[in-house]
Amino acid sequence: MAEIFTPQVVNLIVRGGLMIFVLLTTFAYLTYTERRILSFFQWRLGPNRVGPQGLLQPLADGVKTALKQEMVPRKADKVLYFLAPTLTLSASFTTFALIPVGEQVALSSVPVAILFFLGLSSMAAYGLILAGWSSQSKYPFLGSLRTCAQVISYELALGLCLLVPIMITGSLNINDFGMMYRSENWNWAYLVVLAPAAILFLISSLAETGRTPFDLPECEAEIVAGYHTEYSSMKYAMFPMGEYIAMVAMSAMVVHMLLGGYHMNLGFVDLTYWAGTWTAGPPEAWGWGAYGDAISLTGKGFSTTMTFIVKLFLLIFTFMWIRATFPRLRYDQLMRFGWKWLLPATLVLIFATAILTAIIGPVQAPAVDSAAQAAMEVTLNARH
Amino acid sequence: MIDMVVNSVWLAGLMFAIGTLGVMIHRHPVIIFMCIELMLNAANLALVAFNRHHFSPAWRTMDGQIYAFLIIVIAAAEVAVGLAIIVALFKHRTRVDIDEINFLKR
Amino acid sequence: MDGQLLAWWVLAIVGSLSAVMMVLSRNPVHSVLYLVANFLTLVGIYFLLSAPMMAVVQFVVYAGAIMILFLFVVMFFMSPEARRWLRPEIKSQWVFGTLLTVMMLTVVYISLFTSGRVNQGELEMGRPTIAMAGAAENPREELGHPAGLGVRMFSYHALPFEIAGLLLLAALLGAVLVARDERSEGRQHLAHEFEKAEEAVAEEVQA
Repeated sequence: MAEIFTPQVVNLIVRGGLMIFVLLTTFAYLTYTERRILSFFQWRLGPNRVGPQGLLQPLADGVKTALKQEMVPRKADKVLYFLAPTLTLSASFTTFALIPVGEQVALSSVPVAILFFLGLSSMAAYGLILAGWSSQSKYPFLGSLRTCAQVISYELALGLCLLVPIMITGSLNINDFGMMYRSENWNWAYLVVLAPAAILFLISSLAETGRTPFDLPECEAEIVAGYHTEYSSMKYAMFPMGEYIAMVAMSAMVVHMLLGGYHMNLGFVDLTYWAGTWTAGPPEAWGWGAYGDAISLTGKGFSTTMTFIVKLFLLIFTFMWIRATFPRLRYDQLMRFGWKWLLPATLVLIFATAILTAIIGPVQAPAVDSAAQAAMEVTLNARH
Repeated sequence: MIDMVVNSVWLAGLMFAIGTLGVMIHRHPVIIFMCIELMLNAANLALVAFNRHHFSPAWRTMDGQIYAFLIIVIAAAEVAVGLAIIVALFKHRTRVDIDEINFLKR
Repeated sequence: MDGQLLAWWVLAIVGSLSAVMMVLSRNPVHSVLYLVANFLTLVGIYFLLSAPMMAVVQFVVYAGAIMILFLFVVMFFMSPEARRWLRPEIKSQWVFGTLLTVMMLTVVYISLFTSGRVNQGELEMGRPTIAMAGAAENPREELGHPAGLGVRMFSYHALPFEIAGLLLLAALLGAVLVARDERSEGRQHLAHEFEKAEEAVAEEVQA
């Protein structure tokens, strides 16, 4: 058993725990931020009573939710009723194992991370569907059916949008998306396809995470609260938690797709390692591994992570802005938009990307890689 | 490590048998369909395991995985058509039983 | 026993148990979920067999898309009363089904056991170990890396790939045709005709 808990594994567990802690704090303060921002949009003050400027509001909310009485419907399918929120939340958390937040600041480097990301987003949908079904009650059931149809419809567009950066970089690894934005690889013509792809991705991720204007699964006016009507206390809180964390994950994905990931390349000047330009000293001296580099204030890990976080919060603000601005769609509008507009648009976009990459070429892979690739092709041809 | 590859083939056999059992004892088309999916997956597992077995520095073939990939594509097509047929059945009859679906005979 | 083999055993046991439970479960929704659990264990096993691309395809296509479709159909179209039809009507169906399955399993296992291919001794002597096979200088050349898989797929297996694409298109059209509700479409057509007639009448009245 001892060889299972090798230093690498322990390191990974510690980093994962750190990530979960950061995400939970982010969730707590995102609820506060969203309420404040929405209220400013609507010309009111929002929560400002608990603590200075209401900054302790998330804490009070948490205590209140945890202390609430827990109600379980008598006819509910007990196992699935408990499983559903757990599934949603854990799928959202797992997404962050795949997303790099800075140069070499990532929990993993899976060669197929993007497909895994897509799969996890549909795993989160299972939670929502099962929540509605296991409550054995009418409104949650309607909510879960809506979620089911909505997720099936919009997942296609979501995946197809991700295909655009994949075609440009020629890699399924999110870490390699950064390669696109290095000054030696960057070509402004990529923006012609990347910008629409990211916008369409943003739209379909709104539907996939069930946020306004696509929050039909929890449409209050028609079906009370949708799939989580019968949930209370902490089990209820896990749904918004999963939703917010999925929102952060989707924003992170958009940052990697369009906003240059953790690079800050402005075209005329590449500011990716801005912290390194201010201070001297090798970050490796701290010896804390990847996260040590992120904390060390001098290394490239710090500047890339900070760049990433700033971009991330810009996008999260966009999500909230959309929530404050757009009215909810009708259900037939949602379906028509998804199938008759979004999906054909993404298909056209993929076609355009294919033409573009044929003209200006995809991002150049490192020289060693392509040589080995050629060697492999030679061996394959020799075999047959 | 090599145990894993060998064991995977055994596991594939077991899963295939469980799928067969389900096909034989159930009478609802959806459940039978799911058992067929299980059998397809067992075959995929065997293909991937054999690919692992035959992969060597001298011969870097991934054909087993490609076959499994194509099987998944075909299974997806099969599920789309099959579920559409089942949905059509549900629309025409309230009670769907695999023994009673013999319209073509009549 | 190293960590990977331990993980394999856990996944295999959970996977076979969930497969058995899928067959035995009385509730169709539970059946679907047991099958999802089985597919998720397969995802893990594919990763252990160094087939990451296959693992995610299994994850996205099977566990993600296909099973959600199943869940949708089961939830939408299967009433709770439908459960009693799930029971075999003929008592001997159980007996014969189990008997035939055991016979088949025996045949499969005997053939596996007697074939030298999976004989462990021969493997260790003649075949390279996994550690050797996995270590390529270039990560793209490793087993199951999407780039290598893609090169192979679009060169040597291009024709099957194209045929699979054609099949998907045919299945798409077929599914739409089969599941289309002709009655409601007729009604819509009728409503459209009525609208046109009304407009014509209105125009005549105005004239």
